[in-house]
Amino acid sequence: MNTGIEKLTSLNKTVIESNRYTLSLLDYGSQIGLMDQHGIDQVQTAMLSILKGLIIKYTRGKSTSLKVDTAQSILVSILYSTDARLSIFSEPEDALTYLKTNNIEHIYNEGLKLVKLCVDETNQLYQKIADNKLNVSLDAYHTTIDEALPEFFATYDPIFSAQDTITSMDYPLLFDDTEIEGIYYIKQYLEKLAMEDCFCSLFSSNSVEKLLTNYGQVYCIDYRETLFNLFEVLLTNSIFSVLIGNSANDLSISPSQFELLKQKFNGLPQTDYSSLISQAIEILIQDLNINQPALNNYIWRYPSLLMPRFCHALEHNNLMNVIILDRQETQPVAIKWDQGNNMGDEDFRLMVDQILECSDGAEKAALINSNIHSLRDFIDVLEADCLFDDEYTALFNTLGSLELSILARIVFTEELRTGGINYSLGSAEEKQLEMPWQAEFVRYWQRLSSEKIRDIEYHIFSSFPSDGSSEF
Amino acid sequence: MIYLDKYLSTGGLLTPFEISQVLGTNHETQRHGLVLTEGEAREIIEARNQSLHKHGRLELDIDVINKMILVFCNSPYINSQDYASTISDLVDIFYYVKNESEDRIGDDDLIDIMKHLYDKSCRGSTDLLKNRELALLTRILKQSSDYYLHEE
Repeated sequence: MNTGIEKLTSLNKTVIESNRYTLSLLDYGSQIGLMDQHGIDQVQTAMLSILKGLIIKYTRGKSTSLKVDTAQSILVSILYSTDARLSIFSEPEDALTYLKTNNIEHIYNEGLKLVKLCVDETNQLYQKIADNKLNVSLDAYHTTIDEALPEFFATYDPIFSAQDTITSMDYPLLFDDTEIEGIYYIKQYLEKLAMEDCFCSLFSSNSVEKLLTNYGQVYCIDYRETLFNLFEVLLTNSIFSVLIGNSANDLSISPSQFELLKQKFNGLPQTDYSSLISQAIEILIQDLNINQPALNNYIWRYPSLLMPRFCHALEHNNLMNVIILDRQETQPVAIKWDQGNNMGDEDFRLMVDQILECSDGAEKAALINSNIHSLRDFIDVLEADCLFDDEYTALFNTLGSLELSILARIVFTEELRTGGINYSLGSAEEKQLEMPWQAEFVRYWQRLSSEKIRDIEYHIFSSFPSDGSSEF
Repeated sequence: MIYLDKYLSTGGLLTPFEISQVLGTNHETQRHGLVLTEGEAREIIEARNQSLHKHGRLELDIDVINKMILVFCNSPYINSQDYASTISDLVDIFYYVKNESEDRIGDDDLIDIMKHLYDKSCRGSTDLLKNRELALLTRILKQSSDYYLHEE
């Protein structure tokens, strides 16, 4: 069956339309003189004869008439089978010769056999896909495989409605071909889904789920319930991961790596973007040991889709929507501090006295967190000389990444002002600072894991003003 | 669809063979004093084609006309003067009910019911047949789960 590619004949430029192959072949035959009116009439009469037989079957012999819409649908179903048979020929002239030398009923029956064979083969392919489903939390993916496709196979009728593709298959492919109808559509869908699944299975479930969590946060969606193509999300991050020197199956891209990527591209003329992406894809295919030519070709179709998105995003400074950055698992994101919710002076003095009476850092931290509700009060406490040595660490440990990112912005004001969003705080050095708490914060920072720093950086850079100012 | 468009645009089948098929019913109906001329047979087929078009239906033979003639020819309410026009009206009602009932009733059963109602409660009135009796029938059929046609 032709899968949607239009055939240009060698004799002239008449287009044989794949989704109405038999009819378009007759038009073509008439144009080039290979089919006269008598031959066309014969085909028409034979088609109506097949239709008549099917109407009797359809009504179980109890009615000789049908609604025109139903009759048309049955006729299209007949043509679906003749298309299946005639489009096997690589040249339209050969198909025309076959059409002239065989009666239509024979061609129809042969085509119907091919369609039924395709149903069987596609069902087998479906079983393989269902047996090797990805372990991923995407509702549409699972309902498509577990519900929509079995429903399709249970109701698909190659005789009366072979062209129908009525299903609730919601999971989108990266390159779907909606021009195709009926079982041949399902076949191409499943063949592509199998390739996409094969690719996606090269990544660990944990890293996929982590990427999807980040993806959901970027787009403010519950990714489990959203319709998007998993293959595209993984392929995109894998490509850019390769570009920053990670291995292809590492989907994590940190904010600092992201900045490096931007620098890399910003230093290049736009014409070079494409070759850089192509190089990354070559490495990716090699790294992931992708040997299937079909999957290989499928991946190579992606740059045509990616490049316009990428260039647009780079130009408009929203590349974070294309490349999904790594961040920590969800921390308490609600910030502890409200603007303007400051304590009165007397209350503040009383609290500081209480802090000084506490015996250890944990107790002090608990007291501070239960009484302090604004950033200004929090900084005032840090500067009130009521915390000593490890007590700072005890307090910082009780803060989430968001609060720590705010403190980091204060402590690293100068670095951020000069380095902007290109500055990596991961390698902060000991430096002269005005306040003891700031020095303690730098020491605390140096002891943090790189993952934690990445997460805090994410909060810093995701709200960083585009003019490079570090004010908040 | 090109083939059906061609078929429908030419008004369906109106060949000498089809006309002779309708005229062939005269052998049976003449003993009831009903005989169609060739012109009347042509009129009935043309009216049937218009009904099919009006109701959006397709039929690849003229079996319904012949069945209708053979079942109704013994009705006491059909006379030779309005024989052809009554058959045309009945054929139109037939396709109307097929649509309204969503094809839940077979040709033979519908024609038999129409004949019974036409002769009994309607006393030869095609208006009563269509608007009262068959309107009720179609409502009942639509509520029925006994769907004989191919379930789509």
